[in-house]
Amino acid sequence: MSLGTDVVGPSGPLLGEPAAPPPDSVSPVLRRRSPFMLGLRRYLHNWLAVAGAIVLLAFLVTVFILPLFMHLDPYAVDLTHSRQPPGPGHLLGTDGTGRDVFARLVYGGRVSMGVGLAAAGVAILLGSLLGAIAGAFGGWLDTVIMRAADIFLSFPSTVVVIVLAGVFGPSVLMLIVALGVFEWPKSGRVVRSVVVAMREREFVQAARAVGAGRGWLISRHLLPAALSQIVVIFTLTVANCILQEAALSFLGLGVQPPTPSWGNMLTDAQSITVINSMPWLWVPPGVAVALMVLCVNFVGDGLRDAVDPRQR
Amino acid sequence: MTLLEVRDLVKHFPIRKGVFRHVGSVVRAVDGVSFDLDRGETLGLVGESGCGKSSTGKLLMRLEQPTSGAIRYDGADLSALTGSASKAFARNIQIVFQDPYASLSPRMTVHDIVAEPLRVQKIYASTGAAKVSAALESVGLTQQHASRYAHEFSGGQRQRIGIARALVLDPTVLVLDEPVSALDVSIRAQVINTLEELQDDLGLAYLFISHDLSVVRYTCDRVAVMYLGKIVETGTRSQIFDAPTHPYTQALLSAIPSPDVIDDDDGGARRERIVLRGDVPSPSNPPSGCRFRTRCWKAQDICAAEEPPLVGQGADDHLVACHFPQAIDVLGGEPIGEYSEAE
Amino acid sequence: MTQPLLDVRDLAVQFKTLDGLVHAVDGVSFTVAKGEILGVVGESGSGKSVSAMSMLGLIPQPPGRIAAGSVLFEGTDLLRASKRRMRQIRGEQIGMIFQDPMTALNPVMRVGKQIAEAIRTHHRRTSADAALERAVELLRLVGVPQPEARVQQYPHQFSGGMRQRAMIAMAIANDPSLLIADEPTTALDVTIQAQVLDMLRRAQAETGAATIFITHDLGVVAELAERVIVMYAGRIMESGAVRTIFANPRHPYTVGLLKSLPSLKRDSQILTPIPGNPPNLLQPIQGCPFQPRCEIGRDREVCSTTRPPLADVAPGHASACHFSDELGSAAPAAASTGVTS
Repeated sequence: MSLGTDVVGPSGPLLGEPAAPPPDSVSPVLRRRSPFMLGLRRYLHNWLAVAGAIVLLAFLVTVFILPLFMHLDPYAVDLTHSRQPPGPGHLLGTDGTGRDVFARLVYGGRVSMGVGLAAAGVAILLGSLLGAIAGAFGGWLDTVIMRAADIFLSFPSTVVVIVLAGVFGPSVLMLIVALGVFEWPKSGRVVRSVVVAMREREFVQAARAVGAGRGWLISRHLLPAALSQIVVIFTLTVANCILQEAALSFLGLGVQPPTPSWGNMLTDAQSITVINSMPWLWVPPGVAVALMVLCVNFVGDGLRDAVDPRQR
Repeated sequence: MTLLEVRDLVKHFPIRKGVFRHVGSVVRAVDGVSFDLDRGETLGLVGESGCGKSSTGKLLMRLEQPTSGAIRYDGADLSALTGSASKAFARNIQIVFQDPYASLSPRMTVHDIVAEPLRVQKIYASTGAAKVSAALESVGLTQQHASRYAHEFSGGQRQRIGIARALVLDPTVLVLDEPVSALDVSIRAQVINTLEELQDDLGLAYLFISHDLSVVRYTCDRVAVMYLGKIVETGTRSQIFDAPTHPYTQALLSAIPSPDVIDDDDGGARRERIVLRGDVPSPSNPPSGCRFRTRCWKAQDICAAEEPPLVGQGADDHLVACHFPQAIDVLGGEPIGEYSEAE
Repeated sequence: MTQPLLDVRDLAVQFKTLDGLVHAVDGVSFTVAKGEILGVVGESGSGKSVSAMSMLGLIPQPPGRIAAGSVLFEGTDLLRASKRRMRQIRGEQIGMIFQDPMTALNPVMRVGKQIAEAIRTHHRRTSADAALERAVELLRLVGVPQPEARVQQYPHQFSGGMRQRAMIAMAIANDPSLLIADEPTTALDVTIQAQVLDMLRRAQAETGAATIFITHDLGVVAELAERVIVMYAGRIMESGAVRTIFANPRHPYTVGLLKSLPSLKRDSQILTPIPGNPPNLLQPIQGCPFQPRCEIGRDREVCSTTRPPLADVAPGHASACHFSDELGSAAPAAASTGVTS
């Protein structure tokens, strides 16, 4: 004998409809709004996230598209014009061996961002798969995977990468794999917890009730449910990986010259003279790394708020 | 004819404690439940939270594995089914869940939600789309609705989508787990009527799980009352509502507030109030003997010593598990005499 | 006529959302007399909870906004009172009981201490011991067994029904003259609900507090309240004495509700649902909000253009319907069960 406990939400027929109202009609306001569109709308309301996305996009365009239109050679050595301040022919001056700083900044961006994206990609792929399996299967598989994650998390990753660099020789590939392998636990844990939460939800039970096996549940329901979280973690992992690459290359253990990267461009800044009197050598890559990481973080935060399930 | 036979169904959930998660105690969610469900009939399974009615529904759906006991469908034991036979069996019994907001995937269109059972069973190919349309139509939704997402619909509409999904595999039995409890009342009647029509059209058998006895009275032919994992009384609708015999059934009927005030003016006195003492005991530690004895105003020593069996009272189809059964027309306002309120 | 304890006039509350402005409460007026139990009944979206919350200043503003109206309580307009005055009133002169006791009770504080705190916030000079003693007394009053032991326990050690009783104890601790209960028994099992309602009745009788009981459960209102107001889409559709309203409803919405409810006491032949869905509160509604679903108003122009005023159809019985005289026992009632014998 009670009236119901629905949550408040706009719905209902259009007013002024013909005499016999159809028993069901869809709310006009919410028409044509897929979950993606709803999330996008929320994202666009966050100006910081939008600004971050715009700057990020600008960077990506500059770094990948600009060289197609401008002649930039990051490898051209010219010892007669080393350590020149910005001037004609060299937008940002030249470095210790006379290479154009601007060119190195642009190409270095490709490397730094490339490594960041690739390493994050490896981490997310590994993490999502392992997390989904752990969450969906439970039992000893869950325990094994989660303890493995704990072990990876408790390693001082930078130290280990340094050791690996020493053993295998530093290279971009090793960097990507090593960073990826240490970043997987974060996404792994998040995916697992989403899967565990979703596992008992009634729409997943409904799929089980019609005979769906674990594979179907994971691929059709559980992973998609975690997708929004995965995207957020991905962006934040990219930021982290860019930072780590910069640090390792700065120490000489990441990307090796002559291949430019923002990190190894900063290696030059190890002398006080350079810091004091040759800002064009270290300010551009420093600012680039900081700005890039900042933007990616804003985007990641914006995404996290936009996909927050509590706002549904 | 009897479609489903449930015999001594038991489900214990282990409570794991400690770092190594060893089993501490068990929650006796369902503790020896037996009933039959005939083709085309509606059996109501009622009780308050923790009585095991939802768990029983899940066991029937094989979303949970029984600890012991048997479920037979059309004579065949369900636990004997494995692999592809087990998967194919899903077509016979389907379920409608309580929460219209959690039972539909937020990422799928209505069409995909209703089509999923067909796709899982790999029978979508040629006739799938038509079956989905037919299922949606049968619950009063149209093609226009099929391309929308679940969140664009109201609670009542979502529940109907859930019903369409349950019907698309042409089952013979539907387990309805509190199908209207989460809906606004002006919508409930719509969904209840839809369910009634579907039952008439398709000859479905319903297991109607609910705590709302007014709805149960309207929809069910027979009713089984559960308490702490056991059935305490079973009977036809008129037996249960007009002549409840187990004290818990009587207390339940007496406790439900109702706006039927007109009748009270006629008889003068409002119906007799039975207000039970105390709270429901924990299902991991149920009382010995009769589980209801801790709140029962009639309890005697024998109630603690011996568990009363579920046996017929007069009529063979009216079963009660009580050492001191007495039929009382609680709703009609009959005074209870010496067994008056326990507060 | 004596001054009513609470006098709500033309209350209007709106919420700013991404989709637009939601008119959650749209011109609600009612009174509560001293010691009376008023039931507020409505489905989700009817505005019943929002009305109560806004009276106590518990609506976050933004996104909420009290667009109009006044709420006179013992001479003070609650909507215009200072925050300090509201803090004084809340918990002392007005007690609140919410639906979910777990959100109202602090899970890491002992129950007795919480009740004692409620007392000492308003009566600074009470000693901790005296307050605790009173807490034990209160728990006994609300029917919690072994209150001396229970007072030292944490909320999670209480069952659902007991937690609700503890919350009621907290609400009546300072002898408020008004209690506002927002769906206090909705989450409880039927037999526990019966216990709690019984206890509420007794507590109310002993303390003489007026009570506003908000619920979606028509049965609970019928058993507990003396007067009832029926809300829909942020407005009052009908108000009057409980028995009158249920025996002789004079608004199509109330009639529709009662006709669509299956009866507990009798085998119903047919349920007549109310067609359609509740209206979209994003659009301000010009006429009657129930019109699209209304049997008698669907085709009538006045129902879509003019808002029906809440007018008396009998002494103490008001209905917001242009055609309320077509309803009621004098009028040809539709064949139904549960309303007429």
